[in-house]
Amino acid sequence: MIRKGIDVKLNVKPVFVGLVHKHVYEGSCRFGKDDELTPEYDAMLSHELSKSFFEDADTKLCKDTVNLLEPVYLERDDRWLHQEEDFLKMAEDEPNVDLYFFSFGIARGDIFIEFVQRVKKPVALVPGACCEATLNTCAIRNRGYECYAYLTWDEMNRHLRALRTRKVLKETRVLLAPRMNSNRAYSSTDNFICIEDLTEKFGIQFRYINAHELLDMSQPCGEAGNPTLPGRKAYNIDDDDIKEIYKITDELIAGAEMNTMERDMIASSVRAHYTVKKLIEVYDCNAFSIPCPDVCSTRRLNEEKYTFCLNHSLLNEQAIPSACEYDLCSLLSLIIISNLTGKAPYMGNTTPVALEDGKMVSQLWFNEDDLEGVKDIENLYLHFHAVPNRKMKGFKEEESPYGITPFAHSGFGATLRHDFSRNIGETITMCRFAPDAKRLFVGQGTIVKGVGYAKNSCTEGLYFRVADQSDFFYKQMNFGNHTSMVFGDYAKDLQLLGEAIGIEVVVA
Amino acid sequence: MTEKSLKERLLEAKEAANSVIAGIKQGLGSGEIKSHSDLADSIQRYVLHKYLLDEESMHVISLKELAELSVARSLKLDKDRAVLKDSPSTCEGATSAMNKKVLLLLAIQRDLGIEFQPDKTAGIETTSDLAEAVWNQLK
Repeated sequence: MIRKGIDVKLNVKPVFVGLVHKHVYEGSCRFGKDDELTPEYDAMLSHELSKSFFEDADTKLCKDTVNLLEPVYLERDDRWLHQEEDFLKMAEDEPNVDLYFFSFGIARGDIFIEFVQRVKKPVALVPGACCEATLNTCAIRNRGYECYAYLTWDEMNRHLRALRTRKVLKETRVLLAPRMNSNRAYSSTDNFICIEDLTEKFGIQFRYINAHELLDMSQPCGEAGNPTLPGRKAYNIDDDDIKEIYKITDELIAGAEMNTMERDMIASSVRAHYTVKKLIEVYDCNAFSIPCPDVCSTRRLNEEKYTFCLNHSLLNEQAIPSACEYDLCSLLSLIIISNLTGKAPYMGNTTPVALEDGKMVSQLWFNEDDLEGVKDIENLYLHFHAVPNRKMKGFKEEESPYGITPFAHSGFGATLRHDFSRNIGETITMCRFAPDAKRLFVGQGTIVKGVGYAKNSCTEGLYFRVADQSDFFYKQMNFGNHTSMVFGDYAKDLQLLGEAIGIEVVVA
Repeated sequence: MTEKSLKERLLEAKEAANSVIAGIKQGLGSGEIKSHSDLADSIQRYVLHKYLLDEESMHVISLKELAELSVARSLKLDKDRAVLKDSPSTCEGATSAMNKKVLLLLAIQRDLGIEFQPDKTAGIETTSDLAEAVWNQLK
């Protein structure tokens, strides 16, 4: 079973600390009338407050993000003692806890500080904590520990999505299938400078399989074994897998609103996907990438009649991040943006639409004809590739309509197509890590036109308008070409994640 | 409504609540009250009197809702005094409804000579729960 990042939850432990005075009195921090000054009143009220807090935590924290652990109720009295058993009770399941979530009133911050100093885990205070929010958050942060307070439960949920995504990075294991250089490929020189940095900084692990061995395993194995592993049993496609491959193929064809490919050609691409997914499971990984030019130039893709475009689309829509061209900056971007948003991203080339004498300068397959009907062609950008998917509106949403066309003009290499003209006017957010792994680029725009739906190859995409094309371009050039795009406005969420993982976020 | 009106209402309500308590004690003594369901009606009336609510709220059993109705009622009668009367005095972030509920429980404890366990009182959410909790102490 593939342990997907999207299923990772943040383990949150609620802790309530009440205050029960031992005697009846008023003074400089205590005031009340009659029964309000009695220990019985304090005790009952503490339990009322804790019940309300635990119920709010259960109903208001997003269950897609949070796994609530057994809450803890503690009392202290006005002797201001620190009871060791209270600290032990709070720390009972500490190895499993990602965040302690506290609620308490005046004169209990000392317990809070000591506990954080002991366990050294992130803590948060309940929204609406009045004075205690700023008072105690500053005490913890100025001691070098993580502490958060929020204005509203919505803001807390938003921030917890960022913390959950941080945890996902630590549980990410990427299967990489290089042919030559395992740090970068021939079309992704804007890749991370050192992959080990990602392990040290974010906890991501990388596992490798030789590209030729992978390609060998996409065919049933003969008696002699694979050419790359002679005599050795490997994880080749077998007859049962082939039946499943054709089942998937027929489902893809049946669901497509447009298809220009032959069944067997689509099945070849599904075979590539099936092989990759099988190996992801064997290697106990949950993300993938493979280079394009490096592998393409072996001529084996031409012989096998597949590319990995369909594989990337299908894996991304199954919440298994998969990047084209061995672009690991994009892979990391796919991982964070899919987990933050719950949407399957579209990785693509992101390039400005240059104008000369008021007309679009043609680039590759794109020209001014694409923009027919678009009145204002200032501040436009183009995002295009061959790997959109059917869950770009959300993993839990209905599949969006799609077409199927080949990547290669000779008819192989299935690609899913999405008509972005159906999304005109919608906001998009995209991101990309810098090669130094210290910065994240975040771009935003509004879709003005779709392009390439019925065409082949890397022509599938969209034109979008940005606030300032020059600003976008000169910021983007410090980060690289491909970005990972989702529908919606997620700049703030990415900024929160940047703070959580210690990277600078540059927004255009 | 004037200051005197709220004071008068409070006095009337206190006497009415005391009358309910007297009725409960008599019912226990005569054997008329044999279970918590026999207490339910009396407890409901007791709460209504303590909260300055009338027969219109007889069907409302949620203590939180009754407390909120009470706060709203008091504000109509005399907003300034109601705020003083019902708002919690502590720095704990308690709501007026929580404050009223705890004061209610303390009052009924004192009036009937019983003692609830503080860690159980948060679970008393309705007048039926309260009748059961009182019965468990009295039997």
